[in-house]
Amino acid sequence: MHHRLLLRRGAMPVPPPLPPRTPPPGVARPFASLPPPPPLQSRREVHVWYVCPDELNDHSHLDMYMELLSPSERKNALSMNGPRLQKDAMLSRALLRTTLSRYTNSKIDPRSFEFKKNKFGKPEILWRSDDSNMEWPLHFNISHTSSLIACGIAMDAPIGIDVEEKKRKTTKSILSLARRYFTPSEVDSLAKIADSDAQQKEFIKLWTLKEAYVKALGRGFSGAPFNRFSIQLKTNSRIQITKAPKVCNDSDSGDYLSENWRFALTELNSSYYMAVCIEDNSRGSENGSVPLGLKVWKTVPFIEDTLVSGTDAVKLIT
Amino acid sequence: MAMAAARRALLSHLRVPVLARPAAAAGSVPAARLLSSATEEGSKGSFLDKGEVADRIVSVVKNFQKVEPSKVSTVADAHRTADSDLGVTPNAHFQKDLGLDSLDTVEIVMAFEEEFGFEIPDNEAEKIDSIKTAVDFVASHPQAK
Repeated sequence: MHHRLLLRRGAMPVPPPLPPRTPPPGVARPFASLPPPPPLQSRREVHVWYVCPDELNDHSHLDMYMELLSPSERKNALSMNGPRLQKDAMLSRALLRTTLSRYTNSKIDPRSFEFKKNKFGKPEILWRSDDSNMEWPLHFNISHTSSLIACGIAMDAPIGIDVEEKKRKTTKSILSLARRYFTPSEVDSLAKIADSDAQQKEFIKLWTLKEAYVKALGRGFSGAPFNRFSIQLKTNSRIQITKAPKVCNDSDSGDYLSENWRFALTELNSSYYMAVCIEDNSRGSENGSVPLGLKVWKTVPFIEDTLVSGTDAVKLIT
Repeated sequence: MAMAAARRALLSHLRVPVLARPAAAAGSVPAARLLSSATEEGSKGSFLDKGEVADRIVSVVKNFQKVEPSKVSTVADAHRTADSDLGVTPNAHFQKDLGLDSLDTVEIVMAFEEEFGFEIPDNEAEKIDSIKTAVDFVASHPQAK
């Protein structure tokens, strides 16, 4: 693997000194060789990096990832119940930190990132005001399933991502869930599907799209109630979002819903549906008419990155 | 014929609750509220006993965790089945202890609604992230049955 060293104008602050660390045996490279990804070309582009926790069992790698976490992240990961949940929590933070570092061309050490939550609890990067040379307009969002953790990255645009196993079964019936949480028009479109497997898959697709939107909006589940907006999967890969008509004595939750968001829905590795949503500020474009540019990598941080978009592993849903 | 007779016999011996859901008695004091406040002792009014709520909540979550072997078709199902007898304690946190995600939590909230007979608004549901918060919420709502 090679990496380019980019020169920026002006003096670059020296990254904070790190305790000396010898790379664990079997790992040839320290953090600085996370190869820089292709840049995010525009606000319409989203990059997704994912790990498969079940495949990451090399203890020296896991120790290396654990070392990237802040003390509170480490404490939080260890507070999870059992080794599997602990590993997932740890990998989620390691994935986020290493991914963000890539998009600064490794100028920022994965360990250096600090985070805060917006007033609704959505995590964001905290940039210290003395580092104005070192601010990147990066937005991120993370989604977990039992077997995959994904991190979506966008430039200058709030982003939401949700991944679910395609065959995921629900304990409640699809229509009862839809009636309780979705809009009437979404319930109708699901009810028309006769085959129960097809209906279940359609539910999961809608679920991931709605989750991705709520996460992108960043106001929490109650800030964008699922039954206040409808999502339709139209032909030509267009995904349309519409605010549900307001009933007069409803509370004002849902007033923050906007329709200027762009979506992409893909099937990943034939096992997952992945929905990505970013804010669309381009003027004059029809809702969802210009496709979201999406690139997806499977990663074992510091070890191997595999571009999977453009292959059968990532299929855009039409 | 035999089935119908058996059913009649069974029904005549079953105690069927006569309390209507509060929503059904629009415009008047719900029968449930009147009856329950008449029969509850002390100053609790129509609130459920916290210990009873906790037992019922734990039981709902345990049932949710169990996935029938024939239905295990994803990694998540397998993980959940393996964990189903562990971890559902009165202190269990849905995400940290039980590994539940947002779709699971939404289903569990629905299961609580069915168990206790009242709808939980989204802004309240969002705060229910553990057995304890679920118990506190249900025990503090007079509509809970």
